Amino acid sequence: MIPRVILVCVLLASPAFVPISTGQDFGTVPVALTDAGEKVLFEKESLYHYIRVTQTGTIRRLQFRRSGEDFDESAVDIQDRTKLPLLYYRSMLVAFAHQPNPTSVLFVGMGAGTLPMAIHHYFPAAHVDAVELDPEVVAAAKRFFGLKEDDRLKVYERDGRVQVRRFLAEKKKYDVVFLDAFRGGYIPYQLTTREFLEQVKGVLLPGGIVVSNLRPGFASYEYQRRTYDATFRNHTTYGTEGNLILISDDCVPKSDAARILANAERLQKEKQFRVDLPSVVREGATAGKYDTKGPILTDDFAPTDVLRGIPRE
Amino acid sequence: MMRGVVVAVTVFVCGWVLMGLEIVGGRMLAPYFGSGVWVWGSIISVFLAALSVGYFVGGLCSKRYPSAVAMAAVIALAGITLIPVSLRYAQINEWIAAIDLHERWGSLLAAACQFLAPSVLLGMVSPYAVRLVTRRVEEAGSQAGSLYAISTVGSCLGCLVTSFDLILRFGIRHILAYSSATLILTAIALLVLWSLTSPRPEGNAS
Repeated sequence: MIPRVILVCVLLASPAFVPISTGQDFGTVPVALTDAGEKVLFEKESLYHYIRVTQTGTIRRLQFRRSGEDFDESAVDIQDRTKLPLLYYRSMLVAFAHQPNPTSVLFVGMGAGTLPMAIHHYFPAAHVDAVELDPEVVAAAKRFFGLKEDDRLKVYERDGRVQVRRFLAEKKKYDVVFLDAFRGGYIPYQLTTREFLEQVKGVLLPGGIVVSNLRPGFASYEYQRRTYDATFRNHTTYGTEGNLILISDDCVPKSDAARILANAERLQKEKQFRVDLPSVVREGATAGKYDTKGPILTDDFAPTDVLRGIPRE
Repeated sequence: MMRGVVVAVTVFVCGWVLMGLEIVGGRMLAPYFGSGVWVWGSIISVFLAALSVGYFVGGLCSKRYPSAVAMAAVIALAGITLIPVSLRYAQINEWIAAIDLHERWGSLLAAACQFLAPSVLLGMVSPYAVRLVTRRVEEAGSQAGSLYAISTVGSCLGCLVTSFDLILRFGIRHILAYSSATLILTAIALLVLWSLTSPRPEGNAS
């Protein structure tokens, strides 16, 4: 009968005791220089993550620590916000070659808000909604990464699955939905299942697309790809190293490659992105092969957090 | 002697199933109420509240109806309350999520609807077990101690095996169905074995 009591204690102890035991005011620490020239601006244990904000040169990073490793969740160049320092941001922008005139964009998983802010900047006609579970991450985004809410950018502090269900009930619809919720190296299971993707499909406008940030290095990757295959008609992938960006939609007919490239060229001319969008489109994806036969992820069966620890090979 | 083993195995199985349910509970609620801390908080507090009630009521019942038949009935009933949960948990959670309470209260209500009944009933098992195997007041403490230890070892393994292995292998629905079947079969086995074995002669302390 004892273990349950211990569980409660662990649950209650972790966040509450941090400020007391370190004797510091809400986790702000003096700027510490590590040997790599990295300055630590902020460290805090939130309810969900061990959050760090670091700076190297002009690049500021938001990291979540997991199993002793600090995973980059977001990064921004504080001297030039249009630079988008993380590699996967380049591929994420390809979404707009598929959907060049977005009016409403949803982010599930905001992090420091680099991409929502970039989209807010580049597409003045678009309304951006960003869903982020951890209030401390939202606070860090506002304090260190220049995130500001206004009538075109709104942040919802809630679990992605719960908020999408609400949008569905409110009949809110989006042209582009970015699925980018990570918890230090893995995706929370309720944001991977077929039932969730069906709900996401329900908040898409006609012709809307879903843009997912996936990690081919993890065992859950193949399950995720099969789950997308089972839910959406069309699939296009981008990214030549690291993360793989999957664009899924139900458009009939599937938008053809020539039109996507033409959109990318037109947008590049118009917006002057710091990355060359047409070359990202041309490069496509070089990795991320998967076995199309096998189990998919459902609310009933989704061992993603077990799989995440298993490398694919 | 044999009856002691039968009761020990019974509390082990009940401890296992209870903690297995708790682990699966987090998975059942996440798609509807998210994975905020309050989801785990709700589940754990519902189980603890249910156990408090179960221990108390189980103690009272064991005084009034001190029989293996009554204990088997409690275990079988716990298994039966899991049948609707295993068949309809998605709909139950769907309805509660549609009420549109804050996730905190939604997850607490959902956890209570699905786990209160089986865990009250499983909580009743331990005091019953102590009552059935204790012959003399001097051995009451040692009997209670070993049964609680065995039950908690069951809980510990149920927790580990469910989270490390079963969730990867089966899905939630199957784990719930197997838990239900396990409890009903355990109740039947308890009845059969109890009637086949003879009571320990009074005064024989070990």
